[in-house]
Amino acid sequence: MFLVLTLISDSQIIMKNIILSGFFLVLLAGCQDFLVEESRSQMTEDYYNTEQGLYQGVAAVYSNNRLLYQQNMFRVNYYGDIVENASSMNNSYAESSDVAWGTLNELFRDIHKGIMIANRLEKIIGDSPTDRTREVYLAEIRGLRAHYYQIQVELWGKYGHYQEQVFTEFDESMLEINQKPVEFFYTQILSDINYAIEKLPAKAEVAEFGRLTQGAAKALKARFLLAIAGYSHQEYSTETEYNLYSKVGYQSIESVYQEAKSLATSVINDYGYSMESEYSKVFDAHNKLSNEVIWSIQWTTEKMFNTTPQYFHRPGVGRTNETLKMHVNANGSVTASTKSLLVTRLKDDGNLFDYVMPAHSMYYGREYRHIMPNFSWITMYDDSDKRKLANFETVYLKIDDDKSAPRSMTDTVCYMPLRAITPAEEKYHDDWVASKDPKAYYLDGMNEVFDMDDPNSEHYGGPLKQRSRYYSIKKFFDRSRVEMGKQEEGHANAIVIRLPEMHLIVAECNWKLNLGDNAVYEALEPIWMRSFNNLSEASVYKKGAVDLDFILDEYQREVGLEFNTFFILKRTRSLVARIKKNNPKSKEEAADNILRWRDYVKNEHYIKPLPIMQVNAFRNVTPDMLPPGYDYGRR
Amino acid sequence: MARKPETLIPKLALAICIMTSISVFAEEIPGSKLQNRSSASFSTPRSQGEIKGVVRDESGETLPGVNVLIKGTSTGTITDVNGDFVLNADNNAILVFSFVGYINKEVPVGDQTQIEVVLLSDTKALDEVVVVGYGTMKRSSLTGSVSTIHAKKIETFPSVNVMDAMQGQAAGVYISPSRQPGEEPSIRIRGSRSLSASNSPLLIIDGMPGSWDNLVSSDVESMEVLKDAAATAIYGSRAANGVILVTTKSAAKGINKMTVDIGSFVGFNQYNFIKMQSAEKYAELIRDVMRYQTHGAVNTEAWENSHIDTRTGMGMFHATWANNYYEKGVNYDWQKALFNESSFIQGHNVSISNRTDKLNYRISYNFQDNNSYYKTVNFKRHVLNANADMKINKWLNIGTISRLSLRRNSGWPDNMWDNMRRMSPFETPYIDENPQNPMKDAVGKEQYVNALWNYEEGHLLDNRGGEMADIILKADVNPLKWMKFTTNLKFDYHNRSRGIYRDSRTSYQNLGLNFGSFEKSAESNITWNGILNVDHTFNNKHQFMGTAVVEAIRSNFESLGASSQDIPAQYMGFHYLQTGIINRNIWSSFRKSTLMSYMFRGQYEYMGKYLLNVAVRADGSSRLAPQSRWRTFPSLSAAWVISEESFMADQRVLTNLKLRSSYGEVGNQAIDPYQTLTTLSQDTYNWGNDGVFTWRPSGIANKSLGWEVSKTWNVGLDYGFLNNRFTGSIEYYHTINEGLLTQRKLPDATGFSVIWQNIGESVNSGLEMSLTSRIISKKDFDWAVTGMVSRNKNKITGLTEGRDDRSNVWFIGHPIGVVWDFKKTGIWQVDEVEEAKLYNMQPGEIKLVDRDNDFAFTDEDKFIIGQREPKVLASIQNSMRYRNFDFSFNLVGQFGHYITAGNYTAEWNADKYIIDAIDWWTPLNPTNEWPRAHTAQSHRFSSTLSIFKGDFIKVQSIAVGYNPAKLFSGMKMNKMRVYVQASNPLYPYKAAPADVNPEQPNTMYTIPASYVLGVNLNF
Repeated sequence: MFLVLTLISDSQIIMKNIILSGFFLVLLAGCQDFLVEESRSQMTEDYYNTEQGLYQGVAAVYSNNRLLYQQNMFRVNYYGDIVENASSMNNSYAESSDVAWGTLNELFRDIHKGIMIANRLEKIIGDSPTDRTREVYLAEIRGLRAHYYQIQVELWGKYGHYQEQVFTEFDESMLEINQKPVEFFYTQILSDINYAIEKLPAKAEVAEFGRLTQGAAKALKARFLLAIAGYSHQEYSTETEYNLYSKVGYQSIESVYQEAKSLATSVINDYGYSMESEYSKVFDAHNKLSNEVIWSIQWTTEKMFNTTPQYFHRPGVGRTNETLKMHVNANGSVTASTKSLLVTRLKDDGNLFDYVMPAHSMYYGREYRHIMPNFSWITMYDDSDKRKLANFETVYLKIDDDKSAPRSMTDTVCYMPLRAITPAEEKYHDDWVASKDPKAYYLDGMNEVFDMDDPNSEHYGGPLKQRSRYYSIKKFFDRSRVEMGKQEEGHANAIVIRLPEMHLIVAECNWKLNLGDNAVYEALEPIWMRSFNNLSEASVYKKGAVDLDFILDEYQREVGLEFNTFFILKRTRSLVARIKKNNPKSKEEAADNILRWRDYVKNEHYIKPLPIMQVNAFRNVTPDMLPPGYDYGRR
Repeated sequence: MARKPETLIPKLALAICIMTSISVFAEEIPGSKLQNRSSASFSTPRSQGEIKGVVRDESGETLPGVNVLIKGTSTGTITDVNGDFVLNADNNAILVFSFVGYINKEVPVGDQTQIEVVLLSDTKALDEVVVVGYGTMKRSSLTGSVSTIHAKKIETFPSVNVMDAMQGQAAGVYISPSRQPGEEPSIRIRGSRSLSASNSPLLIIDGMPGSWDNLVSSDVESMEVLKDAAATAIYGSRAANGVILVTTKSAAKGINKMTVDIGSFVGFNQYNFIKMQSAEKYAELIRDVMRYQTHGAVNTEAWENSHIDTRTGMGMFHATWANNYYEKGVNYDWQKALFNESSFIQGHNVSISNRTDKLNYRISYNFQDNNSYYKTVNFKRHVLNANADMKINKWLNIGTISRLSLRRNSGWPDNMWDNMRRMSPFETPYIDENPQNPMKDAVGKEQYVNALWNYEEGHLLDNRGGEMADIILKADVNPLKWMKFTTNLKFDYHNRSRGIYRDSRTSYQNLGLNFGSFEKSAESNITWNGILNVDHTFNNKHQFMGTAVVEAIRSNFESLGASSQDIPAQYMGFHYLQTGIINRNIWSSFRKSTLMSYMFRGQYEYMGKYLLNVAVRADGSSRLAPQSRWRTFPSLSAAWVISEESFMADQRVLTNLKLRSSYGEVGNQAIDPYQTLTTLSQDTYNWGNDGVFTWRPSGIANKSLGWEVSKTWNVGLDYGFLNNRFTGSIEYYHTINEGLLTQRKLPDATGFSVIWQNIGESVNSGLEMSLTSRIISKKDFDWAVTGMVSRNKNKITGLTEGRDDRSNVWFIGHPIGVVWDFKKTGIWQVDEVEEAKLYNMQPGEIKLVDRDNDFAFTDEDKFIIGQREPKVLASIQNSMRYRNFDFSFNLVGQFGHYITAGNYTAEWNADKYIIDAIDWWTPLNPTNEWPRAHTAQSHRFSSTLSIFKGDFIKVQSIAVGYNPAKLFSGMKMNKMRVYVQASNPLYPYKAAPADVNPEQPNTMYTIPASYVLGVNLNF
C-alpha cells in the first residue's frame, strides 16, 4: 500500500509539475519582453552617428549617382539633335513625351533619394561642423544636392519638388508635393554650390578619386550659371522665370557670363587638370584616373564593389554581324536591308571556312540598338578632325570570338567609310566576297544608312527604315569587360565633366560677352589643337561669324551625348529648331508617315512631363500643377 | 466498492491535495476491475456452446475490433483482424455488437453456431469525431464551417506534396498543382483576400503548427478545412486565410495486435510538350521577315513578285543557317534533346502499429523519389514518423509525436525555355554539325551557350537539402471525468542547405565566369500551449463545453551563405568557394518573431437541438508596432438541429437537417518581421579602384502597423435525407477584410519607395454546396458519388486614397488579380494603311480598341478583361466497388477566369524559335489573328495575344484496384490491394488552346500526368 501511495504521489508530483511549469511558462510568456522585436541582421539609422557610419553615408550619396548615370541620364539626353532612334521601332520618339516614361520616373526617384540622404546627413552634421572632416562632408553633400536639384529644375522647372524635412516614420505631410518657383530652386542651388566651392579641398588634396573637389564644384557652378543665363532668352519673356539672374542676386546678365567664365578659367588654370594627348584616350575604360576628368561616376573591375547598377549603359552600338544591302524602290528611293556578315577565311591548316562576325563582342561592344548617330552629327566633323574617326566605328576586323581583340590588324571583314558608295563599288565587293577570296571584305556606305538620294531634298540625311547596322558610337565602348560579348557589367566610368567643356564654356561666354570671334576661337584652341594635326586645319569651322550653331556644333563635336546634350540645347533654347534642322526624315519614312522626333517636338518639351507615377504618389496634385502639353489621361 | 469512485470524483474537484489518499482507491479499484473484466472475457468460456461469427460493414468489408457482448453480462469478446469472433453463449443469449461509427446491433443466438452480422454505419454520423482547434467535437456539435477530407481519398495520390492530392476534395478550396517535384503548390480557401500579405492558410498538424514539407499522405488520417470564422477564430491572428488541421494516423482503435502496413508504387510522369514550329515553317518566317525588311508591309505586289524565297531569305538572315539547312540538311530537334518526355517516380511506405490498454504506438517510414522533364531534377525524401501514447494512470496520458525528414533535391535551369528558343533547328549541338565531334560552346545567331551543356555532368549543380525534425510532447491530465488539461510542447528544427555551381557553359553564366554558392539556414520554432477542456452535461439536456488556451510561439531563423566566381576546377563544385578569386561574397541573416495568445471558447447545447458557441482569442505579435500589437478576435455562432425537433419526428425523408450561422473576426499578420524599424541597406561604390561600402536609408519605420482583420458571416445548412443516403451541406459566406496590409507607394521624394500600411479593404462572398450520395450500397456493389461546387466573389473595396492602383493592377470594385489590358480587334490590314497611320501603326501590327478616341494607346484604353482566380470551382468524386474490384475517379473543374500564357507573348521574331500555333500576318496572309514577324524586337501590345479563358475540366485522378486478399488468406494477410492510378491524365475540356495548360499557363510545359502501379498490404 505504501509503495502504491508513493507511486501515486510521484505521478501526482508529475502532474503538479506539469501544471506548475505550465503556469510558470504562462507567466514567463506573459512577460512584455516576449513580444519585443529583436533585430540583429538590420542596420538602423543610428549608424550615421558614428564616424564610420557618416563616412559610408556620404559615400552612399555618391553611390546614388550610379543610379542616375547608369542609363537614365543617357536616355534623357538621347532626345537631342545628334542621334536618331536605331532599328528598334519600339523605342519610339513618342516615349520621351509620355507621362509614363520610366526614365523620367526613375530620374525623379533617384534625384530625390540622393537629396534625402544628403538632407539626413546634413541634419546629423549640423550647420557648423565640429571638425574639418565633417566640414568637407557637408561641402560634398551640399555640392551633390545642388547637382541633383539642378538636374531637377532643368527637367521639370517649377513643377519639381522641394524637400527639407527628413522623415523617420510615416507622416501625412510626406504625401504632398511642394512645388517652388525656379528662382527658389536656383537660390538653394547657388547657396549649396557656393558652400561647396568654399569648403571643398582642391584635387591635389583629395586621395579618393571621384569625390567632389573644389574644381568640380566650380565647373558645376559654371554650368549652373549658363543655365540661369538661359532664362533670359526672349522666349521666356512671358514667364515668371524671365531674367532669372536678377532674382538670384546678379546685377546683369553680363556678370553671370563673367562669373561663369572666371570659374571655367580657374578650373583650367588652378587645379592641374590637363587634356589627354588623344581624344580617344579619354574614353579608354582602363584610363579611369585621367587628368582630363574633372568629375566622373565610378565603376570598378572588382565585382564586389560594382553592385547594382553594375555598368553604365552602352546604347549606340550597332549589329556587327550584318552588312547592308541597297535596294532601289519603284519610286527611286533607296532602302537598305541587312544581310548576314559572312566572309570566307583561311584556317591555320590552309582550309577555307565560313566566318561570321559575332553580334556582340567585348571589342566591338555589347550591342544595344537604341540610338544611332544621325547624319548631321557625322557630317558635323570635317574629315581632318581626328574626333570623327575616334567617335564612329568604320572598320570591322575579324575577331576570333566574342572575347577577343583582332589578331591581325589587316584582316578587314567590313569597311564602312563615312561617305556614300556607288552601286558599282557595292557590287564589286559583293562579287569579291562571293568569290571566296579569303581577303575579301564588304563595303557599306553612308547611303545605306541614310537617305542620300538628293542633296537638295528635305529628306537628305534622313535615316533609312531598316537600319540594324550603323556607325557605332565608339566613345561608349567598354573594352574593359572581361567575360563575354554579351556581358552587361562594365567598368568604364561615366564622365560627367571633363576639361574641354571648360574651354567651351569660356568660348560661349566670350561670344555672349561680344568679345569678338577671335576670342571665341582662342578659347577653343586647346580643343582644336588636339583635334587636328595642324591647328590651321581648324579653320574649316571658322566659316562666317560665330553664332549659336557654331557654339553648339563645337559642343556636340567634343562632348556630344556626354550626359549634357539636352541641357545645353535647353539653356540655349535651341532644342526645337536644332531637332527640326538636324533630324530629317528619309523619303521612305515620310512616305510611310513614320513619326519622328521632329514631328513630336514642341516648345512644351523644354519642361519634361512630371512622371505619372510620382503624380499619383502625391495626393495634392491638381491639373494646374502639371506641366502643360502632356497627356495625363482622365484625372 | 464499485460505485465509490463516482461519488468521490466531485470531491476530487474541490480539494485535490486532500484527496490524494482517497484517489489511491479511485485509481486502484477501477483499474483492477477493468483488468478482471477483460481477462474474464478471454479466459472463461461457459459451457453452452461455441459460437463463431464474422462481422462486416454494409460494403462487405470485415470489421476488426467490434465489441461483442452478451447482453446483461460483462462477458464478451472483440473481433479479430479478420472480423471473426468466437464466443461461448447460451441459446437464449442476445449478442450486442457495437463499434464506433456503427449502429449497435442485437442478435439473439438461438440455435445458430455460425453468425454473420452486418453492422450499418451510423447514418446520422453522430459519433464522427471532428478535430477542431485545440480539441475535438462530435460532428453534430459543430456550429462552424468545417470540411473533412478522409485519408482514403488522398493516400495513394503519387505526389510528394499532400496538397496536390487535395484538389477537388473540399468545397471552396482552390489548389494550383505543382509542376516540379518539391515545388509547393498554392492553396487558397474561399479565394484570395489579402493584397500583399500571404493568402495561404494556416497548417496545423496534430494540434501544432506544421509544414507541408514533411507531411506524407500515407501518414494522414484526416484533414479538416476550417473555413468560417466560427471555426477559425480560435486561431485568431493567423486564421484569416482559413486553417487546415491535419491529424496523422495512430494505431487503429480496438486492435490488440501488431499491424503492419506496406504501400508501394512505381510509375512515371508524362509531359505534354508545346508543339514548336517545324524547320520549314521557321524558314518561312525568316523569309517573311526579310521580305518585310526589303518590301515593307504595304506593297502586296512586291511581296507577290518577291525574289526572296526561303533560301534567299535565310541567306540574308543568317548565312550559316541557310548553308546548314539547304546544303547539309540540318534539322535538329532541340526540344527532344533537351527534355525528358517521361520520368520515373516511386514511393514506398511501411508502418507498424499497435494499441494496448496502456500504450499505443505507430511508426512509419516513407520514401519518395520523383523526377522531372529537366534532366537535372531529382527529388528524394525520407520521412520517419513515430508516435506513441502512454496511459500512465487513470488521469494521466503522455504522448509524443516525432516526424523526422530528410530531403534531397536538385534544381533545374530556370531559363531553359528562353535558352531553347535560341537553339536553332538549323544547328546541331556538335562542332561542324558532325555528331562525331565534341559539342559546340555556343549556338545561334547571338551565339548563346549550347543548352545541352546544362546537362553535362557537373556543369549545373543546384543541390538542395533539408532536414526537419518536428517533435511534440504532450500530456493529458484528466483530474475529473469532464475536465481535461492538455499541454503540448513542440520543438521543430528545419535545416536547409542549397549549393549551386554553374559552369561557364550553362545557360545561367552563358560563357561568362563560373559561379558557386552555398547557403545553409536553420529555423527553429518552439510552440507551447496549455489547454483546459471541460465537457459536462446536466440533466441529459444541457451540455456545456469549454476550452481555454494559453499559447506562445517563438520562431528563430539564421542563415549563412557564401559565393564566388572563377573557381579553378569544375569538380570542386560549390565545396571550395575560397578558391574563386572574383566576386567573393558572404552573407548571413537573423530573424526572430514571437506570438503570444490567450483563447477561450465556450459551447452550450440544449438537447442536441440548439447550439451556441462563443470564442475569443487575443493575440500579440512582435512583428507589429507596440501600440497595435495586441488584438482580440471574437466569434459567435449558433446552430439549430431542425431534424431533432418533435415536429420532424414523423417524417422519413429528412434524416438530418441543421442550420448554422456564425459571425467572427480573424486576423492576418503574415508579413516579414522588422517592418516597424527604420533601416539602412548596404551598397557599394569605389574611389578610383578602391571599393567602399556605403549605407543608405532603405526602409521607413511604420510605428502604427496593425493586423489585417477579416470579418465573416457564414450561414450553413447541413442535410441528410433518405436515411442519409444523400448528405451534404450548403454554405453562404460574406467576409469583409479590413486594414489589409498594403505596400503603399510613397512619393519617391521622401527618399523611400513604399511603406506597409493597413489601408486596403476587400470583400469575399460566396456559396458552397456539396452532396454525397451512396447511390448503391450492396454487399457486392457500392457506388458513392460526391459533388461539390463553389462560387467565390471577391472584390477590392478600398485602396490608398480611394484610388485604383494601376501599377499593382488593383481596381476598386473588381477582384484582386485581374487581367487588365488592351482589347485586340484584329491586325491592321494593307487597305487600312491610312487609318493605321493615325495611330502611328503599320499594316501587320496589332489593332486595338481606342476607348478614348485620341489615336494613342495609353492606360485609358485598357479594359478589365476578367479575374485570374476561378469564379467557380467544381468537382465530382466517384468511387465504386464490385466484389474485390474498386474503381474511382475525380473530376475537377474551374470556370469563369482568365489566364495569360507566356508562351504566346515570349518575343517571337526571326531570332527565336517559336511555337507552332502562331500563323503570322503578311500582305499575302491577311490574318486577323497574329501580327507580322519582326527581326529582333518584340511586338507592341503583344500581351493581348496571350489572354485566354481559363475554364477547364480535368480528370484529376483515376484509379482501379483489386483486392486479392482471399488468394493469400494463408498468409495471414488482412488486406491487399493492387492498383493502377493516374493523376492529372487529361483535360476533357479546356477553353485555352491545346498547348496552354490552364493551371500553369506561364510555364513551358504542363503539370505532369503521373501513372503508377501500386500495392497496399496490411497484415
